[in-house]
Amino acid sequence: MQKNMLGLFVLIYFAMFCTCNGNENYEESLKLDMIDPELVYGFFNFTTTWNYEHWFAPRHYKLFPRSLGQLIQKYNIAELHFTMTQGLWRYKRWGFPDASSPTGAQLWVWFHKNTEDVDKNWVGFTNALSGLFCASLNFINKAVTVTPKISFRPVGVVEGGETDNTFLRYGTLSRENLCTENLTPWMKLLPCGSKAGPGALLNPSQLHHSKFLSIGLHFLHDCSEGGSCERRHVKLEQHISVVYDLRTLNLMPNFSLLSLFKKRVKPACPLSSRSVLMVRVIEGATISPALTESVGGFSVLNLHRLKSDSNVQVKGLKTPGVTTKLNHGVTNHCYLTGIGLEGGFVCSIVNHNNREIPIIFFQVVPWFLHTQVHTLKVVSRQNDIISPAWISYTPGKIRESPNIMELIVRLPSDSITELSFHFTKGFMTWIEHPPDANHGFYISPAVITTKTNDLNISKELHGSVQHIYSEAILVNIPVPDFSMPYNVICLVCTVLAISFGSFHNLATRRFHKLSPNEVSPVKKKFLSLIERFKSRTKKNEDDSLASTAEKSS
Amino acid sequence: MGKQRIKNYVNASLSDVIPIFNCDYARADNDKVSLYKDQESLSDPPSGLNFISNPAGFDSNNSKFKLEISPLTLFEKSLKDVCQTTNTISDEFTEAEQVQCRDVYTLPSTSYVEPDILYLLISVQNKHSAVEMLLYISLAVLLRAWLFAAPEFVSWLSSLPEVSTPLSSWHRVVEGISVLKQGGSIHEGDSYHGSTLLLIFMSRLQEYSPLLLYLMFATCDIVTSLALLRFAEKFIRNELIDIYKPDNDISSQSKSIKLNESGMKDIPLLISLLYLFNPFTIATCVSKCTLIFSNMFLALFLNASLSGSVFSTTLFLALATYESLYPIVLLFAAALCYYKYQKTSWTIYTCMLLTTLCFLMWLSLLFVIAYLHDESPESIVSHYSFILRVPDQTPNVGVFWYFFTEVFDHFQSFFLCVFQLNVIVFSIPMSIKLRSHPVCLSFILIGIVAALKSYPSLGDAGLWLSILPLWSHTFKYLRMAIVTSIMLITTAIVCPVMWNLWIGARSANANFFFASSLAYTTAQVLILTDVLLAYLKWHYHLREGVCPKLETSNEKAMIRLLN
Repeated sequence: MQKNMLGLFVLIYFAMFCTCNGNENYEESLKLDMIDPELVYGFFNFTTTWNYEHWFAPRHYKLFPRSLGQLIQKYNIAELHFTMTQGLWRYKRWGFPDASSPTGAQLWVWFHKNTEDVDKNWVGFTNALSGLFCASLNFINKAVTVTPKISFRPVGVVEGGETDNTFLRYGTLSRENLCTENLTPWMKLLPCGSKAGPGALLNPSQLHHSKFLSIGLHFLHDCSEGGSCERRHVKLEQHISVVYDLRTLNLMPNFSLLSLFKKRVKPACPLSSRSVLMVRVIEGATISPALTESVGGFSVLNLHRLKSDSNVQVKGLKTPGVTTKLNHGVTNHCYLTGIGLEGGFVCSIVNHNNREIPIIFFQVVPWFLHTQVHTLKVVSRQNDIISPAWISYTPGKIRESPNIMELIVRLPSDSITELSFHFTKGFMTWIEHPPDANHGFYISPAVITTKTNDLNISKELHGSVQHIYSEAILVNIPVPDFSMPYNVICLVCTVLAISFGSFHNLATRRFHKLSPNEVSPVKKKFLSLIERFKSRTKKNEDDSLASTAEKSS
Repeated sequence: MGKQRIKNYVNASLSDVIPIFNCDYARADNDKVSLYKDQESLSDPPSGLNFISNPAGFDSNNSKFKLEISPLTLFEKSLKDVCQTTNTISDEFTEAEQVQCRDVYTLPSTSYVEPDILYLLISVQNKHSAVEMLLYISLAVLLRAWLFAAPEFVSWLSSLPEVSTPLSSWHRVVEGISVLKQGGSIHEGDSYHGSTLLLIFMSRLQEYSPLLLYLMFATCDIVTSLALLRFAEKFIRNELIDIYKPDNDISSQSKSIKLNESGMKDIPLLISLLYLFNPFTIATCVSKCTLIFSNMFLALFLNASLSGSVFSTTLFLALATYESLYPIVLLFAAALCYYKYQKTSWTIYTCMLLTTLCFLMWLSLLFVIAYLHDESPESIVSHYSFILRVPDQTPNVGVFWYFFTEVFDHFQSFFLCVFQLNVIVFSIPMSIKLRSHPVCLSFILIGIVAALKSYPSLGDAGLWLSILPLWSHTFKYLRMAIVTSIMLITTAIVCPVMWNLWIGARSANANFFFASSLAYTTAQVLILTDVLLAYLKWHYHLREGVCPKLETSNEKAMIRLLN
């Protein structure tokens, strides 16, 4: 008991120290929202900010995770955005998420401008990060890495004010799955882990029952409040977005935190300055226990005031008649066409607004698909050819770099625009195929970047730009026969040997006359050998005869 | 008036032949004999006469000269006229409408022919061929135009890996042009792997009119076929001169296998037609493969190499080398050709030096032009590194793609060296072996490169297969003509089928296509070695005389391997 009390004191002391300390600040929140009566969207947000005097080079860590801080220091990182996602965010039905992310893993990093060898740092960092999160991020090699020109701008402030995209590296791995083994190290970066506050709800086995799950980690430099940006701080944001389908979980009329997460919400992390649970339900449903505070349509439960583990229930959900279309912005759907080796890539981009919206379309095509940029077409549904305002195309190089396409297109109001191009499938060596080669390869999702102003969504929540990711497309590459490298080597070498042998023979061959009676030299030699053998055996016989004769005599 | 075997040939139209027997004076310079009506008109030689004499064969005993007439080049009427003019024709000959050209007519010696002119070999162009050729060419153009007008067929054809390779496919050219237009560097990425100058030329051409492109490709084929026609004509004439020179080392027992003009008369036309109407060539042309330019340069090189002009020979060789690198193996052949057909009398070493220097000059000129356009050596380096390092494992009809798909990583560079050496290494032993037969050497090397290069296609084989009839006089020595030709045809047909089964229907795997492409390469190699062996045997028999067995039947020559 005394030990427990002592622990509590220490904890309270630290909590007071940290919350009072002006340098570091930690906030945590869980937002539960209902996309429609069947879908619950949960957004966990854990934000650590740290004021620093001149340069982010800490020696002692308090709230900021040391393991990550050291990597950021070592690899000279100015801004880091890392997400891992399972499932696909349905922009059309679900609207915009608080943190947009593509299927699989995505990593983009802005390095400081004094970085000497950006590529070396990038390779080192991806390897280190793959160790930190137990993810195969080391597969983000040079054949996957790109430097987008305009699609990914720094979110935070930039030293010197000007951005130079030679210090940006971007890579995606669409095949990478989000597993518990990634989730656990991610949770360990939280000041309180999964011991307190909203973090206590993070139950890996339940999270993976969701329709969509995404973890994110964002590190950036930001201005401290006070306008002129004289003081800066670093900000580490950790997100989890999760969407549950209540119907598949059999939680239809009523659900609770306990039924969703199989955990109760715990009192706030003592290190946090703000710890809240926000719930918004659709009309007709009720929250129990009733939450009195309310901010922007959300009922708020302050977890600092919570004394013990508790549960929040939502009751009285009704099956919807028709699903309401939430998105009034831009949606994108991409697919493949073509047969055999020739393929086509089509993205149909829908603008639901009644005004023209400029977008940046960004697509990375792996090197093994030879993109034919001369077939690039942007056509609106009314068959009007739209000429992109700006195009940047970097052709890929075999095994070295992917094809990168980036263009600015002005989408006409209330329109469907089809962007398409052709490609030819290339071939890879048998070593380069991953296990289960017939599964195919993913083309990383197309990224559409728009200004949040154009989409009529909150700038506070989404930042100044919104990325809209399409599906990761699976493409089949013809495979070699993996079982017969030896056979192929033998057969081809045989043919080469035949050709070499024949030509060598002809180059050294000399003809000479031979009378019909004359025997060939080979035959002659053979005959002489036989002759010699015969004579020898005869001699032996003679000898033995002689010896027997001697004996007998 | 005894009948003897024919020694020389007359190849002339009537109007040209008649004056021979009425002329007063003939002048011999080098191998040419010009005949003149009288002493005064000496300064103006009669047109169309181009006689080749053989002064050493003068039969001083009866001071008569022999005239050999190849009736196939003479029209019936003219032949009769010849006979009447000479008044020495036997009755059978006058009557014979289809003279077999195996008779020799001893003409009485007259004062109007200089006594040292005994053998005449008159070579006049076949007047029919120009009209005929025009007909065939227009037919070939029509055929190509008809195929160009079927875009679906063309797109199917250009999607076949046997026809277009990453190095030569038209898609890549269009892609390269569009990258060029955007201001990007062509050789930074994978869009285009061919040569820079070709791309610039194509983009200029496309700017004028896309129709010009079609015309360009059809023209290339025609130029190639005409070059091959001229090449074959020249080669056959040169061979005939060589063989019928009395001071050569040809055995008297080899009459039956000697080249004869009647046998070789149609060969040039056959060669050019084989090129024009070869399905391999047509597919290459219709799918607008840039390989067609390499083929054209090679054909022009072959034609120029017989003219004895070192500048034009090396220019075309440099162009072909710039386009596809491998023709560099023909450098020795070019030097040997120059040595053999030179108008001056350089030694072989001077010829080699001169050829190499000229070749390097042309090639560096091309490099400099390409460099000036791109202002970086990247365009040259990346083009050749793509050919040499074979990074693209897209299937084709060669031996590289599947091997490097399947080979273990750590042996990759070793085998790459072996495979590339295998293409070029033959140039040295073959150049030594065939040093006195540079044309045969060129042919064999073109064939080897076509079969074993890193990105071969059917068009490569199309070129050397078209030239094949040039060796038709040696075909009786072929050992496995039927097997290899059937093998080649079958595999060429089976390849697209297997490709469709693998990629289209997905009911087969890579091994099916690999097996057929490997068999195709093997067939090419076998044909080449067979033809070379036949040529060597023929030449041996020509020098040493034919064994009686061969003369009576087509039985195997009694030749044994010495070592």
